[in-house]
Amino acid sequence: MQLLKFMIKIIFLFVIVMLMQVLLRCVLFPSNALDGLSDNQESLVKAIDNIRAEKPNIIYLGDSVLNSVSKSDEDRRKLSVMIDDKINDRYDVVYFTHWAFTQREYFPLVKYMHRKGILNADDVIIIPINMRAFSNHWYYNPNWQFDDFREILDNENCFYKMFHRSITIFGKEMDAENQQKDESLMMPVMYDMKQVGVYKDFEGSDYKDYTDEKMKKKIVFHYMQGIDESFPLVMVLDDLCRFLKDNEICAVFYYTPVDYEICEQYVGMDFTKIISDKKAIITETVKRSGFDILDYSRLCTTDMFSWKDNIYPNEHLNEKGRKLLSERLATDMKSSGFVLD
Amino acid sequence: MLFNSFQFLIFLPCVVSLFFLLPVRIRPYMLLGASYVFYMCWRPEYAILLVISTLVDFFSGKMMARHSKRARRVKYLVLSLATNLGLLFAFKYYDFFERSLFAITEIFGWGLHFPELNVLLPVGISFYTFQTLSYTIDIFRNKMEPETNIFKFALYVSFFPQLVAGPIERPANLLPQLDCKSRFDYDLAVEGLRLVLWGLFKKVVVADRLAQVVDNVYSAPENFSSIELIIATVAFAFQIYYDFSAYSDIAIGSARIIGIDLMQNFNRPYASQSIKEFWQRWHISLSTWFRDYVYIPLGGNRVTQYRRLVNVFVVFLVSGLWHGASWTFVVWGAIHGLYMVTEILLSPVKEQLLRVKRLSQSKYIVKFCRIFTTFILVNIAWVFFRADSFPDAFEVFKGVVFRCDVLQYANAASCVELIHRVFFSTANMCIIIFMVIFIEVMSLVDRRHGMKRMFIRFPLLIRWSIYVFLILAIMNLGVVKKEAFIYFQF
Repeated sequence: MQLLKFMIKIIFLFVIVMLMQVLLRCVLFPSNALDGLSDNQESLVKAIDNIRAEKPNIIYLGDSVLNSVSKSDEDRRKLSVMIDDKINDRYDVVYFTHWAFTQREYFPLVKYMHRKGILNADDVIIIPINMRAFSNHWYYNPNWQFDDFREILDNENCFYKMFHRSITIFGKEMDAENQQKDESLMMPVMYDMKQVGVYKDFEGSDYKDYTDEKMKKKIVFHYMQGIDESFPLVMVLDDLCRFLKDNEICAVFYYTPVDYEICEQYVGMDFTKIISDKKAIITETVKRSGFDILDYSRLCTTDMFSWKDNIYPNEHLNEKGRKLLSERLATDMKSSGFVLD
Repeated sequence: MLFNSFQFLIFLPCVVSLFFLLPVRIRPYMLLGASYVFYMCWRPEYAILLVISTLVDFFSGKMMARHSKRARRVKYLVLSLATNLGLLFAFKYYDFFERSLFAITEIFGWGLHFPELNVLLPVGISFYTFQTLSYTIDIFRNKMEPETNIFKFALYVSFFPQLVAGPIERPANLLPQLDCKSRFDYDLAVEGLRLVLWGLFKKVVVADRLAQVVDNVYSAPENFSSIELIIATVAFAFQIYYDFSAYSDIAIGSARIIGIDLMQNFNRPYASQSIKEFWQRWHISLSTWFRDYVYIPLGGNRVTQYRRLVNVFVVFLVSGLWHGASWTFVVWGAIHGLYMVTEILLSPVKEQLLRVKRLSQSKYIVKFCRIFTTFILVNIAWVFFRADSFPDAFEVFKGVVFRCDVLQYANAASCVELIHRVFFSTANMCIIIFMVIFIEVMSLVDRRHGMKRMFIRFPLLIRWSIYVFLILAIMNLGVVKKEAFIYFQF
C-alpha cells in the first residue's frame, strides 16, 4: 500500500515537472532566453538569432584565426575587425566565429540562417578553408565535435526545444567522451596516405616545447595527411557548396594562410606537394558548384604568424599578418565585385 | 551505467519495484543480476574481473575459516591479495610502471622497454578491489565469519549503487543487510530519492559547470594570469567535492530506497580546521580503509614517533597512487603526507599557542584562520591532482606567482574580460556562485538542524516546490557536455 502511495506521488511529481517545463519553455521563456544561461554552444545559437536583427549583407564565418591576437601585438584588433574597417561603410558585416569550427559546423549554420531568412539570395557569405582541418586529428578530435551545436541547429520542433537539454544530459552513453578520447589516442597519423604512427605518439604534454624532432612530428601530425574525395570533410564541403548554389547565395571561399617557410624547413618539399594535392581536391570540389577559392595559403611569411604563442604550428596571425590578409581580402572582394568600392 | 543517464533513470525504478514485489529469498539474486547488468552496460567483458575477484575471495575466505594454523591462513590471504592486487596492477599500473622504468633506465642509457598492455581501465576496479580485500583481511584477523552463500558474497562485491565509485563498504556493515529482508518504508524511500535528486543536481548543474571553467584554464595554464589560475584551482576544489559527493549521495540514496544503509563518505571537508580533520571528512570510506588495513598493520600509533611519521607518509603515498597511475597523483599524496607529518610535529606548538589567552578568547577568528589555511593547503595539493602533467602543474604555480598583476583588473572592462575568459559569461559566473552558496547553505542547515527533520517540518507545498525547482534546474541548467564522474577513472 505504501509502495503504491509512493509510486502515485512520483507519477504526480513527474506530471507537475512536465507541466512546469512546458510552462517555462513555451510561456515564460519562449525564445532561447534560457539557453543563453546554459553553455557556450547554445549561446552561439542565440547569437545567430540576434544576427537576424542586424540584417547583414555579409556574413563571415570562421575559426580561431579570425579571433586570435598575438601576445606581442600592439594593434590588438582581430582579423574580423580589420576586415570590417577595410570594407565600405555601406555594408553590414556580421562575424560568426568559433575555435575549431569547420565546414561541418558551417553547413548546418548556413542552412539554419537560410531557413531563418538571415541569409538570402542577395547576401554574401565568406567561408575560409583551413587546410589543417582536413585531417583525422581535427575531424575526429573528441574536443572539437560540436554535436550539440549541430543538433540544436537542425532540430527546431517544439518538443526538442523543451527537452533537448535533458535528452542530451541524460542521453549519452556512459563514459562516451572518455571512450572517444581513448579511441582518438589510437587514431592513425598519416603521412600523405601512409600511416606513420598513432595520435598518442604525436600529441600530449610531451609536446609542449620545441625541439627539432618535436617540431617535425608536430608538422607531420597537423598538416601531412593526404586526403581524397571520400574524406568526410570534403564531402561536407561538397554538400555545402551545392546548397549555396541551389539557393543562389553568393559565397567567397579562401584558403587560410599557412606557414610554408617553417613547415618546409622541417619536412622539406613533401609539405608543398601534400598541401598542393590537398588544395587540388578541395578546389575541384568547390569549383564543381561554380565557386572559386581565393588562394592565400602562401600569402604570409613566417614572421607574420603567431603560432609560437601556442604549442603547435597553426594559422594564427600577428598584427602584420592580419593587416596583410585583411587588405588582400578586401581588395579581392572589391575587384571581384562582391562589394562595391 | 552512469547515474546521470536515462538508463539509470529507468533501471532504478525497475530494480526498486522488483525488489519489493519479489519474495524476500529471491531479492538478493535479483539484486545480483541487476548489479551485473549495471556494470556490464559499460564493457561486458570486464565483468569477468568481478567474477574472478568474487570466486577467489569467496574460496580464500572459506579456506581461511577452515584452517586454524596461521601459515595456512596466510597462504590463502596471499592468494587473495595476489589475485586482487595483481589484477589491479595489470589493468591500472602496469603501463605506468613500464613507462616510468623506461624513463629512469633511459637516463643511464639502458632504455629498458617492456611491451605495453594498452588496456582500458576497468571502471571501479580500485573500489571493488579494496572492498573485497577487506572481506578476506577481516576473516584472516578473525573479525568475522566467512559468508556461506556465494551469491550473497557476489552481491557484496558488486552491489550496484557503490560498485564503481564507493563508498567502499566493510563486510560487517554491508553483508548482513544483503539478506534484503526490509519491508518498503515510505520515509526511507522518500529520503533516498531526495538524496538521489540532490546528488544529480550537484553533479549535473554545479560540478559539470565548474568542470568547464577548470578545463578551460587547466588545458593551457600558460595563457592565464595569476587570479584566473587561482579561480580555476578553487573551482576545481569545489568541482571534485561536488562531483564525488554527488556520486556518494546518489549511491547512498539508491541503496536507502531498498532499505540498505551505506556509510557516509563526506562531511563538509572544506570546513576542516586541519589536514587530519580534512581526511576525517573527505572520502571517509577510503581514509578509514587505509587506516584499518594499512596504517594499523604498519604499527599505527603504537610505534616510535619517527616510525609513526614514516607510516603516515607511506599511507598517503599509497593513497596518492591509488587515485591514479601517474606521478602527479603520487606527488599529491606525498604533499598530503608531508602536511600530516608537519602537523604531527607541530602539534605541541599548536597546543601551546592555543593556550595563549588572547587566542583562546578570539576562537572564531582562530577557527576561521585554521579553516582558511587548511583550504589553501588542500588547494595547493589539488593543483597536482588536476594538472595533466608536472610541467602543467609547475606552470600553474609559476603563473600564480609571476603573472600576478592585480592592477590589470582595476577597471570594469578588464574585470568583464576576466569573467569571460574564465567563466565564458557573466550569467554563467552568477549561476556558479549562486549554486555553490546554495549547496553550502543547505549543507550547513543539514549539519545544524538535520535536513530530514527540516523537510518533514516544511509544508507539503514548500517541499514539493524544492523538488520541482531541483528537477527543473537539472533539466534547464544542467551542462550538456557530459562529464563522467571524476572518481570513475580511479
